[in-house]
Amino acid sequence: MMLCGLTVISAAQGGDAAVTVLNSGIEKAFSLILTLCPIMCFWSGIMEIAECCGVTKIISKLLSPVTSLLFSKEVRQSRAMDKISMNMSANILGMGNAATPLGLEAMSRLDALNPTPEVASGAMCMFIVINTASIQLIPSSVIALRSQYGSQTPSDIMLPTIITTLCAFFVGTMSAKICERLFYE
Amino acid sequence: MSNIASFFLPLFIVLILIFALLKKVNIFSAFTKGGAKGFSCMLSIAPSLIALVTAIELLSLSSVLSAFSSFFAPVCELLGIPNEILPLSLMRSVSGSGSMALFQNILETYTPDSYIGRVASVIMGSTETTFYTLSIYFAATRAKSLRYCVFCALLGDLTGSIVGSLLCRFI
Repeated sequence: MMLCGLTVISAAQGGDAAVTVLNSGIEKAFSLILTLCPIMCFWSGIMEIAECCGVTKIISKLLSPVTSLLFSKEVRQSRAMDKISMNMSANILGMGNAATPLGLEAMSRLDALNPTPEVASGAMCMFIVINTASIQLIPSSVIALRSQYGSQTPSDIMLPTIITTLCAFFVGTMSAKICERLFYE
Repeated sequence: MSNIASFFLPLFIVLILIFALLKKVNIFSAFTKGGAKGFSCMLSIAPSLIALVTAIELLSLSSVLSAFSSFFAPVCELLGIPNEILPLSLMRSVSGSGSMALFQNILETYTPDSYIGRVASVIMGSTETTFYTLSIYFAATRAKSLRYCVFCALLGDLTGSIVGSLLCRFI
């Protein structure tokens, strides 16, 4: 990706432009890490409390009808499952900042389970697809922006958004399930 | 409606804390223990994050995306995705800030209540920044080959664009 972007920019706008873009990319990465770091620490802390007092177990139970369709038995009985369920519920409630650290922890636990560490496991791919489709009940930032730009009915888009996100979720997870069969059996 | 959403987050934290108090968990030590884990996790993914975010930034600022969107225009017409939306639905998968800028641009030119404005809103609300999610999540693992993962994630995004464009015709 870097190669492709660099070559195209250099060809179209000259080498100087390419270096400027490269620098701004690096700067962006650094500021992302700086902003993400305290958020990670804070939410990991909160989630540790949630784990100590059993809240995570309750949420895992609540989501189990959905997760049992998506993940294999080994994954569901592993330590990764708590994090996966917490990540999903954070996404559903629209708490993106809380979802990211949980997702990262879930991924590193799935990594520990993976018998072939070089190649992504089926559960990892499934988990990623769930996250990229990100089911969200109330798209609050979009609604806020719409009213800011003078919409008469800013929350009109809620229903179509939920239906759309469910369709994307369904197609994504189904295709991941099918590919998993094709690749691992 | 957006007011309700803003209550979720504090409510969630308060509930967890009440639970912890009831169960007599040592809240502060649990918090610091978790925080330390979060910090070390962040440190371990930082190098790969820098490489990937830089690459994505290069891609989104280069003309690759606009070349893509003119290439895909006829296909999208068949699928019912309006031409005005195409750059947004492509950018949505690549860059969060980039797609936000495009989205605000669309709201300004077409007004939020127009068909184009509504489709853009649905697409913004219903999908994630796919490549960003992919890169930071896989940074936490040892995996080098992602297999079918990118394909499935993008298939989900494509479904989002098609269904969104279709639904907004009726609502």
